[in-house]
Amino acid sequence: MKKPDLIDELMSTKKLNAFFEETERSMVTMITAHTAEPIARRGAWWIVGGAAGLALIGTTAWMSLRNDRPVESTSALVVAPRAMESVSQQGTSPVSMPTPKATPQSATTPASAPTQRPESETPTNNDHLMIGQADATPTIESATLREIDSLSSILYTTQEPLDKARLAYQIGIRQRLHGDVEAAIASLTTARTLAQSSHATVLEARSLAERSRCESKRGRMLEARTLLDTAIRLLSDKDESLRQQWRQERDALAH
Amino acid sequence: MKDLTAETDNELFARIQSHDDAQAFRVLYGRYKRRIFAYCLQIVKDEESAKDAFQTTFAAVYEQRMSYSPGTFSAWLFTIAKRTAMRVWTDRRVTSLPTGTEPFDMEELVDEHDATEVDVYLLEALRKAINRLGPDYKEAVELRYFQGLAFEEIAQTLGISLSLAKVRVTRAKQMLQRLMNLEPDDIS
Repeated sequence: MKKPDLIDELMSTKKLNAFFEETERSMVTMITAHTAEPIARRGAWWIVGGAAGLALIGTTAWMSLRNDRPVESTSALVVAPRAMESVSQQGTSPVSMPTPKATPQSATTPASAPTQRPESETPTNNDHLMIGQADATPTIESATLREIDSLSSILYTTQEPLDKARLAYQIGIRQRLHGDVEAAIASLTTARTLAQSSHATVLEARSLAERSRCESKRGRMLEARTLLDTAIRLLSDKDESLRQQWRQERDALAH
Repeated sequence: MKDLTAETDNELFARIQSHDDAQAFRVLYGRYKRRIFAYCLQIVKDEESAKDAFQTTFAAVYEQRMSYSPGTFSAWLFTIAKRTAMRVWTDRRVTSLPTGTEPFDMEELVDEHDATEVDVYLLEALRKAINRLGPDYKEAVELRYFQGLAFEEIAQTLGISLSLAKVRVTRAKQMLQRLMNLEPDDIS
């Protein structure tokens, strides 16, 4: 008979087992989304192509039958309205980087998140997409699973850790709004880690603050407070180090 | 679905690296989850922080999968866990420590293990906890988990009833969980 493993048995409480399962589910979802995305994207192009072809045939047929009635749009071509909407909200120049709006807040939480972008973050090609998604979903109603899925798909085509961090953060917020607190915590933890490794302090602090909201939602007030303490301290430390640096620069100028 | 349980850590991780094999991830995760959690718990000393460190560790393992070149997977995994847990611990140290926990000595961890004995620190923590048990409970744990005896054999060796042997092992486990900063299940 195989010797029972003491550590395995000690780390097998009901609560822990549920936590392990939840984490496993989040991780597998993340990995599966990564694998499925390229296939889905290829499939989507076939659908887009097919829909475009059908729309063209239909339009031609319609116009040939009703010459007096001009065709105003080929809405069949609009495959992903939310994605298109988010791109169009960025104005005509996708290269310019708009300031992200405030984090979408739930109806019960005050909108107090800082609005400036973390200064250590560098703009990338994915910014317009992510920020657009954030702008398009300010309410609980629109925080749908579908949206989370679509953000997850984008997440796994994104290579830059900082972009991934931003997306994981956005996904986490939506999961929280959707009521999936455990999944939200997993996403926000990922966001925090990636932000941390990218030295994006503000994003890291925001991820912690969002996690604090998740914790308070499930009644863990002490944990929520600790997370907020850490977030506040992160920002203060950053402010202090910047102040210090600028003081030194100023003093050097004075001499 | 192919049974991957017989595959080595490196074979499983190669599957994750080459084609994001979720099944391979599940098997690896299953192999290490409890040990990694226990390891994090011994560093950060509270359950919630350990959960934080644990999730961050596995997210980092997946994020950094391409940086792993075949070697001792467990050593790599525990190194990530150690760094992550230390970071979490450092973050929490400033804000709040649960009552009764001593501040963790960072120096203690620095060179404490080599690539083959990845969780030596964990085993040491476990050993310390066992040494704090009363003699009856300590003996029951030794017989059950280190000698690998069945409950009947423990009962015979100690000259006690089968049910008492079971109770001793269960209570000893609960005490160990508490000593290792884990909240045990309620058993009435």
